[in-house]
Amino acid sequence: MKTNIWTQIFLVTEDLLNKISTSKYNPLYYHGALPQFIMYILFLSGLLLFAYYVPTIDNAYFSKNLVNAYTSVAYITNDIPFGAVIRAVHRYAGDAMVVAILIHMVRVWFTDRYRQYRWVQWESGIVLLLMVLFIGQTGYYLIWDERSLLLTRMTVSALEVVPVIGEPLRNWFLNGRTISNLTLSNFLFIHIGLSFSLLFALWIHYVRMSRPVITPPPALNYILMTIIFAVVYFFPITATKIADLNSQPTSMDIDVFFLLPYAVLGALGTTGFWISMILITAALCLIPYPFTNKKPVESAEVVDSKCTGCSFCFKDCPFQAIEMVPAPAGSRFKLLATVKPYRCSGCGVCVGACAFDAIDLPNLLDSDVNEKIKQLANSQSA
Amino acid sequence: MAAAIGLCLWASAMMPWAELDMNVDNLPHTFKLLHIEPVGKALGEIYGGSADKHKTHLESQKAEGKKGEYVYSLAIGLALLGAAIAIAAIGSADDEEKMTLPEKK
Repeated sequence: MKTNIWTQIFLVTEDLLNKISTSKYNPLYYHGALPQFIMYILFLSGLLLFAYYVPTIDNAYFSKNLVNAYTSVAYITNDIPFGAVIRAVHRYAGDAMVVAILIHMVRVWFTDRYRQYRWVQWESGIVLLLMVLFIGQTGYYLIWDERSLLLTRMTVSALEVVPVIGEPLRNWFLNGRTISNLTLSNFLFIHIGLSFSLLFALWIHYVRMSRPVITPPPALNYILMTIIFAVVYFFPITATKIADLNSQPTSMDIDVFFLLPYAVLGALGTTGFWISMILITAALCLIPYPFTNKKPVESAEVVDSKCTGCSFCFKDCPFQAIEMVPAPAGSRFKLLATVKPYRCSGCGVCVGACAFDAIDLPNLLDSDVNEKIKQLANSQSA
Repeated sequence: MAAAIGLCLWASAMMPWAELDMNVDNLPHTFKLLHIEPVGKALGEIYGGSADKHKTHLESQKAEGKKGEYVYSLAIGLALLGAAIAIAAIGSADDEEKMTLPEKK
């Protein structure tokens, strides 16, 4: 655990939330599960929007009235029952997802749950965050208002400067050489396709967890829904202007949760944008690597002569670092615990689980910990 | 907990009124079929006083679509909040630590 002012802030916040909501409903204990619940809200609301969305920039299906992405969004908002509310829920749930992911990320970092065997979770989490941000940005393209047009053109300008693959990237993004009906189809494909790809990325994210908490308690889900519905009421989505390919919008409202990279792009230009994005992403990806940790972690060690093969440590280990193997010949017991050092994070859960002092951390002996606890208890009772 | 359940019920009853776009003057035919027109009128009497406030707020925010749908959103949010508090109050009984730490031998 990190021991600085931030840890204290986290502990005070945690304690405060425990007093308000009790530990059973403390959102900080479900920081990983909350984004997943929000994902389900996004899937469901997105499905309802998808039913009426027309991914074109001109009259693709009708000749009399202008039917395109923008007018279909306006139709959803104004004519479909609860269309405006569902659209707003979809948008604000996206914002909530980014907030929840950032809280999850910070919390995981402060509690040191990204080290050792869990580097896969950290790296896959970074990928998930980037995916969510890009999905959200494509959501803004789909509305096809002035902001969508400006975002599309800014993205094209950023992609074009990428060495060697700049032009293919631009053509892939636009689904052709210029903005056309196919462009919106591509945006929709990316938005939905990448959203479902989140499930695969989540599988990788969970694969090394013994018991991932993937569902928050219903009461927390309800409160989250309350917040989203209240935001929908207090800050309804307002009408915007349809995109006009013959004009060049020069300013837009920035959604800080998804469109901040575009503010960076506008401020630093394409080269500065790519340098800053690569640096930020690389810094985030490098966090789990050992040179960023001051203290090397030593894995737990089993005292073979004391182990009874009860499996408590195996069941409690959050890193799947303990394996129960057949006990050696002559043992009174059937099983023996063994530690996989490359998976052990030195958290000490197994030491607490063992009733027979049969497992120790080399740099933190069970007897020493017990002695410290006794001293602490005595000092507090005195 | 009684207040939370009360909030949940109060907000749940507000939902059909909001769905009627905060107007019970011309109730849908369903109300006649089910002979629950008095219920519709009662909802109007209970919640009708706040209709103007909701409309003023939503118009100032330039909300699109039917205004009652946003009020429905608020109502369902409040109902869920009441339910959450009630569930948490019931569930907090399970909050006590039940795990027995192993006694070191």
